[in-house]
Amino acid sequence: MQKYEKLEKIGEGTYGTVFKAKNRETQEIVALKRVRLDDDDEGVPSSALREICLLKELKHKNIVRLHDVLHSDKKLTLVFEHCDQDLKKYFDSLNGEIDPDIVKSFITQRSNRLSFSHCKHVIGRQQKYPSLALNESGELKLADFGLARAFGIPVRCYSAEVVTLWYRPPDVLFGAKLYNTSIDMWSAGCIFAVLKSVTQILFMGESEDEGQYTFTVFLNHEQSSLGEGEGEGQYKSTSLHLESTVHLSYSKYFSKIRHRRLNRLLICNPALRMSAEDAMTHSYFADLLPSLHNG
Amino acid sequence: RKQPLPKLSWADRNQLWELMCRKDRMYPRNPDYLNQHSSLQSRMRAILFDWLTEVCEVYRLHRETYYKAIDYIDRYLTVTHNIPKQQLQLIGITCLFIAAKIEEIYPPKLTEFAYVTDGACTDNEILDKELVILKCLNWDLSPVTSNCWLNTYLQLAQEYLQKGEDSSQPS
Repeated sequence: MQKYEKLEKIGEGTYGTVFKAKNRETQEIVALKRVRLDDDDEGVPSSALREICLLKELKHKNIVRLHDVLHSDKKLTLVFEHCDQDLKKYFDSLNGEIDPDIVKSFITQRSNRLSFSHCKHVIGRQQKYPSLALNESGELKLADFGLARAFGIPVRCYSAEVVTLWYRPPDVLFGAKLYNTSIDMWSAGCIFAVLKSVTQILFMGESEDEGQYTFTVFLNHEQSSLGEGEGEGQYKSTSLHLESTVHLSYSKYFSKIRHRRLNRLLICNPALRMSAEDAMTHSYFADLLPSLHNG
Repeated sequence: RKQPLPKLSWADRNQLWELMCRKDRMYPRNPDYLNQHSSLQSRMRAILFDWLTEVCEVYRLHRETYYKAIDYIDRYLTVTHNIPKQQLQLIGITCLFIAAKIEEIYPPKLTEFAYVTDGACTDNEILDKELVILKCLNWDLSPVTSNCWLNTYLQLAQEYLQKGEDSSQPS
């Protein structure tokens, strides 16, 4: 640990505290994520195990780089490349206005990164904007991999309690356990909508019931593709508690942000949802520099 | 290696094959590693693996968890020398403990892993060994296991059978 000089506390991650620090030899600025290992605990937390072994396999300019794992008694330190701010802080600094070109650049970088990790067989399950980090040159990095997991071969069951609630796709919200990379694409659609409108969250629910109710409203409004093709049997019929207070401005809201690409991401049937790879070849990105396309 | 897979309905066959082969190269195991350990015999490895299947059965762990643990044990013994046979059970249960945390939605608790060793390994011994093993494995914990390979073959077989049924029925 003598190698790094701690500069300031940046925040709290899924597990443990994050510090900004300087490498004493190279003067390089890094982020240190401190994981405490208590005696009465379960050893290295599973989120840390998963994050470390996945990041070791994902080396890409839109994914935060893990430089090193250090172990000193009773704690682990993950050494990451440093990013200046997360997307939420960045939005807060904008006062509600955003350049459409910046939106496009962010979305391209995000899709690029998603397509890359999907090719490497990793599902993120945690696309939310505070876990997207930015560096000085506007490069977007996916940071928090605490809930991510590798998938070997498709076809298997996963936990339904994944993805920050607001970005959780309807198939998972209604209990589907056989999901694939399409869940990240729903979240990508939600974040895209958030970017277009600067800060407003799309499906804001406080609980799973509320989330489900919100979708029902959304579905009625959209006459959506639910029930077409495969995956139909995965939706659990649920009695909904309609008394919960939910955020209900979607109908108005959707006409404002309606966008062809968004529609193809926010498709309820996971089998029909656009893949990260397809998203990258969409005409929306056609006018961007080719360098952005190649990670 | 030459791409042997037929066209697949659920994945790109080239990508899948490339992944399976790349992971095989990334996760090297030496089939002759027992020569590095003078006090270990292949019979002991078999006994350890049999016992681990029983532990997996008791705690209802996924098949993949078991095969991940096997991969960790074999790779750990590939990079070490002269491990005493008394250590084998501790290495085995610790690898299963790590694999369960990676793979399971609700992994059993540390004390439950210590409990099945019937006093041979304590909680703290498992915790210490965990860090030793993770470092030796270089934190590389997501191999494509033999279970995954089998899964691919079974899906191929199923697709093949379904095709046979479809074509035998008049449309």
